[in-house]
Amino acid sequence: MTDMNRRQFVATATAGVLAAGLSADALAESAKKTKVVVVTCPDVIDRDKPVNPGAVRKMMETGVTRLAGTSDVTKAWKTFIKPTDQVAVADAGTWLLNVPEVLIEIMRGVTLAGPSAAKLTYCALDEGHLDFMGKLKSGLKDASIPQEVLDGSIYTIRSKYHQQQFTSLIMSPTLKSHSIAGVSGIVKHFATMSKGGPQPHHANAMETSGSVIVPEFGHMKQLYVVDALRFGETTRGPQFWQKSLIFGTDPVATDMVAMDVFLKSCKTYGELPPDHHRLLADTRYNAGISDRSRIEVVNVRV
Amino acid sequence: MIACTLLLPMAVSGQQNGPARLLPPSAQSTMWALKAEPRRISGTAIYDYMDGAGEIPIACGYKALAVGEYTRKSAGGMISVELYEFANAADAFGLYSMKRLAAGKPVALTIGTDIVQAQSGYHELLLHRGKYMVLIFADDSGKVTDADLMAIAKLIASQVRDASPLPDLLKLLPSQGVVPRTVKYFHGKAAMDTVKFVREDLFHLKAHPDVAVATYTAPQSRAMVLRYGSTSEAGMVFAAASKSTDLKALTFVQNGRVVGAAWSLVGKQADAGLVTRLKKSIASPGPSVEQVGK
Repeated sequence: MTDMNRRQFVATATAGVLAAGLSADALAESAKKTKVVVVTCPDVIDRDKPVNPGAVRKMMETGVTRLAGTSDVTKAWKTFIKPTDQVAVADAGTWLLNVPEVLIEIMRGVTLAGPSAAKLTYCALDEGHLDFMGKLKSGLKDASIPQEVLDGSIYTIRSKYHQQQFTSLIMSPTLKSHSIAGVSGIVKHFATMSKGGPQPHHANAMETSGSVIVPEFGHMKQLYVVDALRFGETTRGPQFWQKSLIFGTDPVATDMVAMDVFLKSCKTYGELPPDHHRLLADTRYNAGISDRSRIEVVNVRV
Repeated sequence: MIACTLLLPMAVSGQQNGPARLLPPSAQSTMWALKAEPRRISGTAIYDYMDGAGEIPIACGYKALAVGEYTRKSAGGMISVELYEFANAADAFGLYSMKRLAAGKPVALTIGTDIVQAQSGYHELLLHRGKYMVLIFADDSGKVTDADLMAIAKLIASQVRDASPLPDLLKLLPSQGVVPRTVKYFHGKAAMDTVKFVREDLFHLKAHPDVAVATYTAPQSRAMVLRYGSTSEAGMVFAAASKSTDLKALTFVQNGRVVGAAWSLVGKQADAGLVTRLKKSIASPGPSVEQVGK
């Protein structure tokens, strides 16, 4: 959560709790909550139905405005991105590629905010997926966003984010059952994007993956747009069409909520505990909030 | 009937070593052709190719991997082939067992009179033949059919003359009540974590014991056997695991170099009947718990 957004949120939460006449303890507890917004649209996509770009846009606008606490879409994006920012948008990578329209709508939002620079850092391995890259390029063109924002040289294994001057990160991971993490997501994705690469974090259900978040990415403002339009099964592609986007600014809280949504309809890989690395990202590495009582989940249907 | 043309790979590949020599340069009368020289991978270089997915082949003891990509000019589409080589057929079965899905569809693939262990699903085809495990998968264009995958599978499988004996450890698991296609065989902790996650290496998997696990019904349970290098090593694991609070839901038995364990997937205690059967099968091995072709 950005400083500004955190202050805004605390002020809003405080006013609400005071109005309800709750105790000081309840007030303090409520004030610590971080917000995660789950936007679901039954008509956005399905197994045999191509993505509806208009629905993706509606979901994106709903998510950022509800997260920012404003009804104005441009103002909402400006809550998270300042004119001086250099923004990195990071895609989901190869195990379950993003629905391209999600990345295009994120880039449209970034453009509305008008940062000093922005790059859509797609995983270098995505280049082999010609259909995905083609849709991404044509979608950017249709949105009048220059192709130059695409950059496949930063999100490599090992990545080069630490060599850049980014001040803002927008990550859009997908979720899938994962043969060493249980269920992949935001925290695991940070290990993939770390300068040392993911391999040092593989052991014990990727329990150290959260260790890189603060040291390597803590200087950047962060926004998460989890692409939960569909959930994957390891490298095998989609297994369930969830039709949601999940928005948050706390990496651990957003990932906990995304995992909970995943587990309502899909299973972890084998008996791997999918919350193991997420909980440690909070309790061992202080990268965010895993305690569900301190997470305000806002569910919206559009 | 699929028309398969075998263009002898050795004639093209010359002095190629390793599993890449088994990748046919073309299939289906040259309709599908290798796009480029196969990629050759061994050891921890597998992480550069598949990142997190490399842990499981390593836990199964893979020796080398060849990756080939096939394209066709006429109708488009791409097929990728991952051909893993192991020291023996048992370990190759291990990766097959880890990669397959319980919901996968067994495939009737025979070479001569041999039934080849194979299954399909998710636009991919898995097979185990000799000391090789092969994963053949289609791109997401929708242009590749199961018959295309099968054509390449047959070409590869037909070049492997070795027998494909299953791990003898599978005879130490009880057959009664086993759920088909749930048997797994491996050596390393990354694979163990997927069937029983314990943070500490209480099973001493650093020593790479042979491990076999299967799922059972009525009640839903798991049984596992681990074979160590010596009785004393097995004894140490048995003692440590038996008193671990992390493993209190498991019931352990030991017989010589073998440690057995059973646990419930629905209750707190292992089913007494399964524990009895496990003790018996460890003491007097029966038929393999894995049924090829089923």
